[in-house]
Amino acid sequence: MFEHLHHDGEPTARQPAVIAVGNVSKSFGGISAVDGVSFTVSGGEVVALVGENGAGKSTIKNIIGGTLRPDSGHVSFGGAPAVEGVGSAKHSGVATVHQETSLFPDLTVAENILIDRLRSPGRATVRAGHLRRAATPVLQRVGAGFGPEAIVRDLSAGQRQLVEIAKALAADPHAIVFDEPTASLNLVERELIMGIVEQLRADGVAVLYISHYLEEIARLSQRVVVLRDGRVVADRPTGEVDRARLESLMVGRELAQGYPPLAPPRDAKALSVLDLGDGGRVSGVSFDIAEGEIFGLAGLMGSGRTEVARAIFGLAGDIGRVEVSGRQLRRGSVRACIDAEMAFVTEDRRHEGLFLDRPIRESLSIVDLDSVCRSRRIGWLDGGSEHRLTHELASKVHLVARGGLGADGGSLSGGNQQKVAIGKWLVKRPRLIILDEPTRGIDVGAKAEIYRLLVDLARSGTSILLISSEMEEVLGLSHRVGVMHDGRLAGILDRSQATQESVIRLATGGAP
Amino acid sequence: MNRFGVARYVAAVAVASLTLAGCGSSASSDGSDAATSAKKRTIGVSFDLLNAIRQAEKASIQKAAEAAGYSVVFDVADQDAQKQASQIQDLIQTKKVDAVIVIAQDGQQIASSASLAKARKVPFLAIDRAVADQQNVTFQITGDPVADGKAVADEFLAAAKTKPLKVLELVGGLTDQNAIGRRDGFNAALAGQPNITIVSQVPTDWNPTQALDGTSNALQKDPTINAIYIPSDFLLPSVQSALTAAKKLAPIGDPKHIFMVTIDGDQNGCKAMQAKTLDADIATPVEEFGKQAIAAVTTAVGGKPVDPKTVQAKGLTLNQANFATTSSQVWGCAS
Amino acid sequence: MNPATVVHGRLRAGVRREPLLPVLVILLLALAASFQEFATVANFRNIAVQASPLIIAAVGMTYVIMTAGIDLSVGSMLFLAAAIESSQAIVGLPTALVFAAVCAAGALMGLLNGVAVAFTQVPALIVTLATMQVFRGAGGHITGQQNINLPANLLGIGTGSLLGVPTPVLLAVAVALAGGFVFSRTTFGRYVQAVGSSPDAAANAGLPVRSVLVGAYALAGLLAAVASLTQTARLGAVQPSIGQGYELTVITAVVLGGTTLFGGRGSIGGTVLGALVLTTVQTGLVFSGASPYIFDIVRGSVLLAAVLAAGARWRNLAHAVRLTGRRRPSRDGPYNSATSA
Repeated sequence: MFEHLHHDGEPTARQPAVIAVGNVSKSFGGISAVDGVSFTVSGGEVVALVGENGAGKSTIKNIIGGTLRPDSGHVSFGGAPAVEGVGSAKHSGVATVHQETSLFPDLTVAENILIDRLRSPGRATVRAGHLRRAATPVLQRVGAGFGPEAIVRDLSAGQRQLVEIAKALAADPHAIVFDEPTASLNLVERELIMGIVEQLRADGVAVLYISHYLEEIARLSQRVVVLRDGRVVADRPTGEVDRARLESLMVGRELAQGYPPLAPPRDAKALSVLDLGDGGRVSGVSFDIAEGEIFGLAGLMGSGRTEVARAIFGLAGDIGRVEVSGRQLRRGSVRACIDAEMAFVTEDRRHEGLFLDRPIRESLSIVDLDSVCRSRRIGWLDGGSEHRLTHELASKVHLVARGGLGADGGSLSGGNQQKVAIGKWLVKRPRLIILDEPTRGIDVGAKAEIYRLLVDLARSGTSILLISSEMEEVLGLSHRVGVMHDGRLAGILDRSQATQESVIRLATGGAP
Repeated sequence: MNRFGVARYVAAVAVASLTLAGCGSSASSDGSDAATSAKKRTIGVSFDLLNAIRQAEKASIQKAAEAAGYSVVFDVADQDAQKQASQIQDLIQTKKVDAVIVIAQDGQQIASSASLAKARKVPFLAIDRAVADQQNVTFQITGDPVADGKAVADEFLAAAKTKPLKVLELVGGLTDQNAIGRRDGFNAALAGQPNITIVSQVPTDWNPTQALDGTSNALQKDPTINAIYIPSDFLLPSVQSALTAAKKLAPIGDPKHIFMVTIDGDQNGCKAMQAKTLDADIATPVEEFGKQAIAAVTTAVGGKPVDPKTVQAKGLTLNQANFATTSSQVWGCAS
Repeated sequence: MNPATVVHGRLRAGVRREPLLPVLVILLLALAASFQEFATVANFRNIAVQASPLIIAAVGMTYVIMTAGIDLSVGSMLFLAAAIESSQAIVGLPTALVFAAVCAAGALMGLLNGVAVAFTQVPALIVTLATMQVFRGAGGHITGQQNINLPANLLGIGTGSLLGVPTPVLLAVAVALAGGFVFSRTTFGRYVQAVGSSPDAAANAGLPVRSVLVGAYALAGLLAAVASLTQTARLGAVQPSIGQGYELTVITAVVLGGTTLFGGRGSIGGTVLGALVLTTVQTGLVFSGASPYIFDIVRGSVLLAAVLAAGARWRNLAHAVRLTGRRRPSRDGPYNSATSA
């Protein structure tokens, strides 16, 4: 039915494009989100849609998926114009795999996958056996390590993403829109997903792939569409654009390449961890971090990296011994860690890193409100002091807040939210910052700024424990890399020894 | 544990909890003398709550029961319909009373207790508050809210002969049959009367704060109001406070005096009558409730049907003219 | 920029922040125009006095709702506080001591709520539903379900006045100002808002989440007791039905004023306005001579309209701001101190 794609990117399908977006524009409250966007995706073709946060990718995704109606322009599927509503896209065989998962946490995996087809065909009831039988093959197809009876709430972020993908595949679609499908996945799972995408393309499915990961795009896609400020600024075969060009098209200016150069760490030890455990899978973890050192913590998902961070920061029990600059740390208390000048930027910035519905300034000042008090005893806050302090913090992290610091935290882009999550700890230069997936889902420009921020902090003497699933990032930024496997620290690699292969070997339980 | 062991255990727990539930607020049985007569009959009484008027009703039942030679077991359900149901169940099944007299917390829900009584052949009598489904009720005596409202209107009509009245009418809870009856009886009797105008009808939901605020607002809106109908003495203190704040609380004879009539006949009403700030009070015929209920019990346990089965007893008008002679019959005036 | 635009801009920002203010003003104007006796000092004093206990209790409730909690026991706390005031042990003491004892009792009741909410997994709705019954039962036990008149020395706080201003109004103003100050200008107030906005983010930032929760509920209890003192003094007597259903009125005032039940967003000023609007509507209904059945319908509709309007406004606002916020200002510098609210 659909012609197989040639690798030079020329689609040879003779049918009308499976997804055709024609001159679509959409505004919200007077502000233009997308303006005159046009592109097509044909069967057996992977088209990558890239752009920074706020460039309009989500809007386009939602218009294609039917949850938003364009103000002007049209969308058609296989030549037939789309009818409004989510059902229409599904009806035309277009499935969407969302970034912010659309799953129901309290239902089972099978129920989620078949949510719009719960009843057994021809019957009036929902039968568990039918659900299980229908869900199992598609779960196998995505390589899920869990069964159809698992409750979604118990699954990790990465596993939930697999369920999302399974849900889209279960409908046997002509076209799939992937929205950041690998954002919360580790290396092994990413490979799996990319394999699935390749297979879909081979099967003649049209794939629209929205992603920040330029290496994936380079591997998977035949064409790249770049959005900036709501408009299409480029629509080229993938082979014709290199990474640097792509980034500058996204950002609108030239970007410095690579990671900032690291300064050598000092001699004194900032953090000493001995026999750390969290009362669960993690145990016997011991390592040191020197002053001014960036210590990367790598490993597969579920290997216990976040647990190590939480245990150090007083959020998960008190097993083991932690020393900060030689002094023993009182375990199990977040306050004790903060008093010892430690900081923790968690994985879930939206819910744990800042306050979405409070002014940005309040998220920035919350850790150390005492420092902006007129009278510490009654806690009387000094508005002027707070304004000055938060201005300072905002400049330190190069925060971009269009509505000013009085706007809600939720109005910021992901990258800027992360800057707030980091910035709030910088009132006094911290001795140690723990960062868990600091650049997940963040656009290129903001990522570069965060890298620079981290390296500058390290240079000024702050130690950094960096947890990241992005191999490149860990390898590019760390002085040393610790690798977790199954709750234990499998090994520590020096910068010179740390390569993708050596890390993966340790992460999968191999010998160093 | 074998099956019987479990059953016994469960039964023991059930009995214990039922007894405890019943023990909640039950007073010890009154008149529990070492009775010589082995057949001394016991009446179980279940009240919805215990306030001033209920105390008077309790006393009236007690008096009539003693005169007839019955002993009385007395329970209070603290305004909880479920609790009342389990207390009545305990009276019938455990204490095995010969008759049950009830003031229902919920006129609909009480039906289950009534049918339980019917099944056990225990006469089921209701006083003061009407029961919705009469089929299992042996006898019911309540007040006559419509007649009481009319009695209030009669007082207003008499007063209107000397000067025109502009009336503030407070209304009780709109889901309460008593409140509706008292309002309707009053309004109907005054329809078309030239000398009497109801300028304001304020709902109070039987809430003292709402009565206070509503009265203040009504007086503010129309300072020429010179008469107030308060459908229950329960709201009297609130109205007095509102009048005091507006500097309008004055006894009869004072030009500022506002003509007021209430219903119920409680201590506050009596005191206000004595202080001459209240012009009339239609007292609940508490004595009649007790007397007629006990008489009905006697008829019922004697095996005869009670006729009439439903009685609406009119209130007793206490006004400034008949105060000296009538006050002794009003329950709120008995010290 | 000419002065008119500046004023206009400030007005619009003010209205956006407190949308209830123009509503109240319009309401007052409309009622004054329709009814001769409405626009008098005596009437406004009446409204202020009637709104005062509600304002006091609602300020406390605002703190609780800001933490994403709720307190259904406020009506019962009002009653129990009044019962304690009228009890044998307390009522004969010197006036100041009586008031202190009642306030202490209120704070203890609130403490009970707060500890239960902060230290168990039981939702605030359930905890306060239970204490609602417990407190009312305790009060009923103390009063024996009877009406108890208060002695004259305890009535001044409800019926008295200072320099022509009724005492309840003075109390309400003091509570509103102090409550508002603590809310927006102290660490505790900031912590309350942070905990309501995101308990996880608050915990991660080292905030004493449990202490904050306990404090909010204790404050609500204390203010319920203060409201009770002034309300019962006005009534002149403790009656068993005091405060029944009051929790709904208080919560309505808070929600009307713009505080969301999900926590994290709200203001004391809004609550005060909410209480004033509710009281004005109530008074207006009496003035209008409307059928008693209409009262509840009107009250409910006011709340519904306000909540719907607020919801729509916030959604659009949030969406628009989110888009502006995300625009990549490649032309501007990295950070600019833009106009902030």
